[in-house]
Amino acid sequence: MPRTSYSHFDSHDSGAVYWVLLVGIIISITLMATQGRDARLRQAVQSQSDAVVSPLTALVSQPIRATENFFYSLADRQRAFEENKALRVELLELREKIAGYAVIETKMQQYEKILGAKTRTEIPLRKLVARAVNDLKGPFVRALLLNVGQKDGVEVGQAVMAPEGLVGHVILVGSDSSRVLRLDDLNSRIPVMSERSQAVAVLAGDNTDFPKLLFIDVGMDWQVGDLILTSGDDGRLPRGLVVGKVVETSDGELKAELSGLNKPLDWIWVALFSPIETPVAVQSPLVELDEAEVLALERRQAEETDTSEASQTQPSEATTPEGANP
Amino acid sequence: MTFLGSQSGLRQGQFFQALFAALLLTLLGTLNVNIMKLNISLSWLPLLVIALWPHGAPPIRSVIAIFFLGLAQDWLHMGVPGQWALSYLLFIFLFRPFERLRPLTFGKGLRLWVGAMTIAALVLTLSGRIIFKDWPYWGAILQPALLATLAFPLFWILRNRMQSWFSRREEAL
Repeated sequence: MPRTSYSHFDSHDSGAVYWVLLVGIIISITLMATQGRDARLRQAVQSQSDAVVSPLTALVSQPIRATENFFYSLADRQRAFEENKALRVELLELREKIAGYAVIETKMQQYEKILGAKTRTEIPLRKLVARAVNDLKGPFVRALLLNVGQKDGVEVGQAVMAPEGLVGHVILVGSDSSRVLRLDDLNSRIPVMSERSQAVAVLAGDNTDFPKLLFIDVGMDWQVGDLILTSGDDGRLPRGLVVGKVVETSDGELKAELSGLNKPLDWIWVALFSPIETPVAVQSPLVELDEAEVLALERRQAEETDTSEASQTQPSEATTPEGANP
Repeated sequence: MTFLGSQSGLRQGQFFQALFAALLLTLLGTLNVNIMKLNISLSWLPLLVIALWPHGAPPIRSVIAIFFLGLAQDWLHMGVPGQWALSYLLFIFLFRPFERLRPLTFGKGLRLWVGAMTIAALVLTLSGRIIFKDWPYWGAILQPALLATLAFPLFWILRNRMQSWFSRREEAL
């Protein structure tokens, strides 16, 4: 019998071992109960562990991403010829549209000048290129790890885009890395609209490749094939980012086919857009006055009232006819 | 005395081998490969090491290490902290590898692996259901479990080779 077959476990050890096991189990359950979803401690530890793991994962993932891209390019080449034809036709159509848009833009500028309206472009102009070093698809979590963080100007809530469309938004920022909640994650909820009809809905991730479109009112005009854009209604994501297309399931439910998540993610960009800030209530000046000042103010107001009453009664006396007195 | 010293070295060696393998696979498990619209996750590979944890490794140190390996797995996968740690510890609690008297056969090892998978799947599903109020994406549980099962024979061979190599080395010393 090889030496490795000997059990080194003595019966007198068992008590201590099972106590340690029991403590471990209790700590695990406590952590699960207290650190579910958005706990602070969890986020702090997460950003620290991301900072350590991010460079390591970036290194290890390089051959994997290269393999993914190789397979993708193989599949891509087969489609290339057919796509080339379709793209030529599309190019001609787009040229016409661009010419039309130039005319519309000039018109818009004139209208703005006439109305004195001040609009701003909603699509963020500043983009930060990043690498998705890790793409997690767990039973409850779908997230990305980026190799850019606070030092590069990344902030929580910023949109993360692939060339084809929106991927998700930043939920956790470390110094050199950040976590992105993908659109298909169970916790992802973003307001969207149809490009064709401007109908709005909420895109809710459900850990499948096709997130749901929720809160579609009866009157809302959503159709299969509609281009889905961010509506910007939450004030956190800019308006007009491409999300995907509407598809219908066999049971008639409308879902979204995500444009940004239909191929392996490698190089992506973070849209450096500042979300609309929550308004802060302005303090009333009376709050800062002490009691004496308030009394003085009240006295002054009372005097002013008396003076005005007196000035109102004087003209009436003046207008009283002299003969009216007995 | 010499034998006891060598035995202790062997125990430490087994512990560090298992720990190193688990750490390596935990890190490797964070990588997802997307090929031909198929997502290949290696996230269940560390469970192989836990299921076949060497019975000669110091028990208390092993339990503490396994707990932290579980937490590392949770943090690296952005899961709820405690889910994997609980799965690992429950497996150790129910299957008690330290009380094993004979070396594992392939069949017994496979049974342990099935037990470990069942516990992990139950813990992940039920705890996730309570926390997220939703059922998990089953593909993300079944696919990595299947992949790890396919890797089991290879892992088994590697584990036995490493153990006998270390054992011979210790005896030579």
